Amino acid sequence: MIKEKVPNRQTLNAWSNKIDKAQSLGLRTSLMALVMVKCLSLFSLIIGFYCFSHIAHDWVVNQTPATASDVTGLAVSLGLSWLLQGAFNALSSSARMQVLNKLEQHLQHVFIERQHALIRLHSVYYWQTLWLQHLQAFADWALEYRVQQLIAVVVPLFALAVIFYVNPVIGIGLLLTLPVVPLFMIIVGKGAAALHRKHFIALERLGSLFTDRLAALPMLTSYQAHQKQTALLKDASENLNARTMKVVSVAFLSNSVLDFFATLAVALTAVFIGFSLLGELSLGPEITLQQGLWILLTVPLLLSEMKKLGQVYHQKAQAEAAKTELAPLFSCFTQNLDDSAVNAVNTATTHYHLSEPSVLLTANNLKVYDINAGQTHSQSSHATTAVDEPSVLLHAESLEVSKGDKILISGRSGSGKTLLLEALGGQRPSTHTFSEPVIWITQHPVITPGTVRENLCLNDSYTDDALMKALEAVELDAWLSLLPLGLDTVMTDYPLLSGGEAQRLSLARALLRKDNIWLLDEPTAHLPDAQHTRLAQLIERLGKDKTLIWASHKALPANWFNRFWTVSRSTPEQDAISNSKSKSEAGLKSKLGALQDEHLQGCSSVTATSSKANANQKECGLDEK
Amino acid sequence: MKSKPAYLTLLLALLHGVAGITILVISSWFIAISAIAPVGFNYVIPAVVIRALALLRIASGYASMWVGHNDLLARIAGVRLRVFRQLENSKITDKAFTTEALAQHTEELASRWIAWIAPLSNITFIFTNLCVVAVWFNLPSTSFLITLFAIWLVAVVVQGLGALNIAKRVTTENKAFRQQSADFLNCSAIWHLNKAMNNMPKEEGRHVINSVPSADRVWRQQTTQKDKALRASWWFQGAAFFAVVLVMSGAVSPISDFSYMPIAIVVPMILMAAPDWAGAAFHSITKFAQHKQSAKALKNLKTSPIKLLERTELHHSLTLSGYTAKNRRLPLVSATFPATGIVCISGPSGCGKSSLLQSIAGVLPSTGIKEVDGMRIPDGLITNWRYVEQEPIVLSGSVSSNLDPAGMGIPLDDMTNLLAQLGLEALLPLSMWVGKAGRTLSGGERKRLALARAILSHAKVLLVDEPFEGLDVTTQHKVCEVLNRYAANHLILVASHVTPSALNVSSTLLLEEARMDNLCAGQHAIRLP
Repeated sequence: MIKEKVPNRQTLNAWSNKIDKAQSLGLRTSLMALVMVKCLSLFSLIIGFYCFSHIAHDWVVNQTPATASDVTGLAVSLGLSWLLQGAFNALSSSARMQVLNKLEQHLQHVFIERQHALIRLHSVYYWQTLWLQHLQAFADWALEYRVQQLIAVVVPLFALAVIFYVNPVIGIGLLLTLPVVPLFMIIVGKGAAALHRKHFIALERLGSLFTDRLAALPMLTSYQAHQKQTALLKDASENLNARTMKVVSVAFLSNSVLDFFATLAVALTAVFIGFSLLGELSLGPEITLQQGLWILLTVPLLLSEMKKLGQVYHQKAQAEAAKTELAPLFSCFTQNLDDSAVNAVNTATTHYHLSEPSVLLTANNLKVYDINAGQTHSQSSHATTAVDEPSVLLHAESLEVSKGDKILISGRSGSGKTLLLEALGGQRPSTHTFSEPVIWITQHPVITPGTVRENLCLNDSYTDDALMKALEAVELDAWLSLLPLGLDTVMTDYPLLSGGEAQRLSLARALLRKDNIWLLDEPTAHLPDAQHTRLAQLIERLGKDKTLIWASHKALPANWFNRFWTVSRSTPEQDAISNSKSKSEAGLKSKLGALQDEHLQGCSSVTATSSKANANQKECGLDEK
Repeated sequence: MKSKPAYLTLLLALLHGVAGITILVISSWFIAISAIAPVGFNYVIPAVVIRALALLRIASGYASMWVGHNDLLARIAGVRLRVFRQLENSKITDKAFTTEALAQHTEELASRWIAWIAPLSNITFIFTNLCVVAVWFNLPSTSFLITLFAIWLVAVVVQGLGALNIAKRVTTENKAFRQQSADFLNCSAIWHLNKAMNNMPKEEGRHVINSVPSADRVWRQQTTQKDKALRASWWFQGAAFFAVVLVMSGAVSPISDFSYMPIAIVVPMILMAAPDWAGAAFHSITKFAQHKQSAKALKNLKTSPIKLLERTELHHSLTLSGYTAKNRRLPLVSATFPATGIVCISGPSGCGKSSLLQSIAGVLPSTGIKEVDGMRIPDGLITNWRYVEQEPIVLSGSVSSNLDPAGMGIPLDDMTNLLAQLGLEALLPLSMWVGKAGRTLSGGERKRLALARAILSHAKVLLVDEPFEGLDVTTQHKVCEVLNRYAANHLILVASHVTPSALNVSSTLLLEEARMDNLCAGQHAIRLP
């Protein structure tokens, strides 16, 4: 367990430091401030104990009331300790909110940066969990667990110093026994981890059965399988509980070890002090009631903070889980920190644009990276080893886009047409992107729950005239006239739109905006052939003066386009770059030959290096379990 | 929620707490009395008692944890099974109610003993008894102890009421955020058109983006909940410290014979330690509020029973007239299907292919007339007809349990053969665990597994939704062959964009798009050739 845990903790800590630095979360400052305040609070509590025991000594031994100075001391130190504790609470909660808000902002920025290319990868539920719970788990760990961790180290040292000062014999005794505590805890922890590993798969599988079967309710009903599954759940939970108890009975020992030492330390110290006071024991210096009581009050502090650490221990596991999800998302921030010459390529291409305004994009050796890779890695940094470069999902020798171009991207489904569009549109890290905003028309048109007007405007404002004109252009005017409230009709969960009409609405959205590059990602994929032809013609007509990049696996007339790009997936076996190059060139040549008969200007080929290889390996890995 | 109280957990926790406080009292008294060592003082007994108490505390600590968790696990299992049984043949109508939320609520419900009943009653018991003992022995400054107890009681009640309110607010905010963020995330494809989102300067994007929902309000409520507990225990600590200072100054309490006896330091010691042993109550009371909230949520869990229609045999024909899914604004369908063969249903997306299949199977309520062999069939789930979803559910379990979820005793050989015919050799052996914490299935594998499940259950009518999507040509061919064979004596309706040539389609039903005009006119969409 230790072997597995230590690197984990280091990476979590290291990651948190990195992200702290990159995003100026102020974690370090908060951490230090919190630990400082808490330690001061406990320190003045120890002073309070001193005054307390002094007064008790006066009472019992001298039979006199407390002196004014002692009472003042007690009042001041306890008051101070209390106020500092209050400050600690306030600091802790405000720091937590601050960190949460900052993390949320960063998440929102990642969303806006990557947009649909990122969001489409996971379900809404996944993103909500990430947003609501994982950010929180990280903040809790950073500001609660880590603070407690430091306090659990510092405070015992404090207390031990005081005890040493008062009575070295007790101090030595405690010093000798204290290291035993972590030792025992490690042994117990190891045992528990071994047991957990042994039962891991079973715990994992049985633990999720309840939610799994709940999610499957409709299926269970239709197969009349509820009785059988209830019985199965019953067995499973019995099995699960038995296994969990096995692991837990060992894990609890860790807590008991702490309890054992905490209790025994108090009890034995009390007995030792009592016997010393009685004169039955004469080890070390003479002891007075004042000293004895002070020690007795201070001893619990040795282990109580460590016990509190145990109470927030679960936060670590949650933060680990959060980290695995968040780290790739936030990686672009941390990587930006590493290399300062980030946008080398972007600036280069921008210069190019200035000199030749009609060329929108010239890309030599275009590479498209994984969604979570850092921002544009410059071509010029070819000197850096291949290890540094994130995995290239898509690669193209040379692509060129001029103003007014009509480009058709073809390729089998799953070959990476969408990847290429996402890269060009700037939603996915790549070496080249358009430097001006683009408009997307995707496979599934998005209709928001608002009114027709809101659907078209999206936080912008257009005159009714402009809206009507756009709707007319996309042939939705007849549809609009049937709506009860016209532009102010609210779209519901089942809007009064067919697939084709919804796509027209998204075309109207595009028409309203002045951006001149349209990226069309199979806008007609889900329409029957007749609809497809009509809509495609409409798009072609409306996009006459725009730059169109159109991905489609349905047939479109070739004379609509002046450039043809083909995306093909190279097999995972072709790991050598030269191999894949020659292959893509071959593909290019054959395509060129076919196309030049039609007197077309150019065509290019894009190769998607398969990422499936990794995925397959993962699956295999799971099989083995 | 009727279940046996966890007395043992309670008792052990009590023992643990009592032993702790007794050690504190006896050891402070012991060293105080040792300091003045009266003649004939028997120091052996207190020393032994202290050590015995220490051992008792350790043992009861472990035991209470063990028993408490054992009991907790049993309770969780019990509550979950009960909830699950209640859900038989019904569906959860509340859309916002996720299975994870249900799992969490059941856990809150089951953990009440260990989370708040035991700690709260424990502290109350100890506090009361301390007061009683202090009064009984007429200890000095007993009045302070009683006052502190009163303060504690009031604080706990106030904190509990506040926590209930906040717990309610957390739930509301959570719901609101889920709704907002779902709307927001579903629109991700058109974010780039939203000027408000993209126009902010990228370099100093530190300010809040207005058009993006924020979880801030949820977190704020949760932080408030935590803060309230902390603040209550902080005030309690202040009160305890104040009491200590007052007692020790001797300014308030009259000087009596007891004033300077060793026993006099017992009450100040208890007061001094009070934040440690009584402060935990404020966090427990928060748990109480969460428990109440969960109990309410479970009570209000909206379910609607599913009406079941026992075995419906199809001998001659299935006739639909003016038939469609309810409340979905889809065109009406009129058609007649034979008792055997494959009928392909095609049409553009959004025309209601899935809805039609689901309403024929009785998964969705419908309008219009559905007749089997001339007999009108009411709405309701037909138990021996199967709808095979586009995104089928795969149970976390072995392949065989997925193929035979109801435990009908389907021969393993049949399963193996069918999987092989569907090109699912990768899922063999049948004992392989699939789903969560097992082998993840690809979309195509899930589809074929669900198809195999439906075929093995000997469904009279199969309603298959997009079986060929995401399959390569060879696999499509295999699926076609399986369907062709099954269609020899069953009716299969296939909704699909593509119709592989290998599929023996006996007829095709073309659905028109759902459009404003044909909806308003209420036209019949199609007829079978």
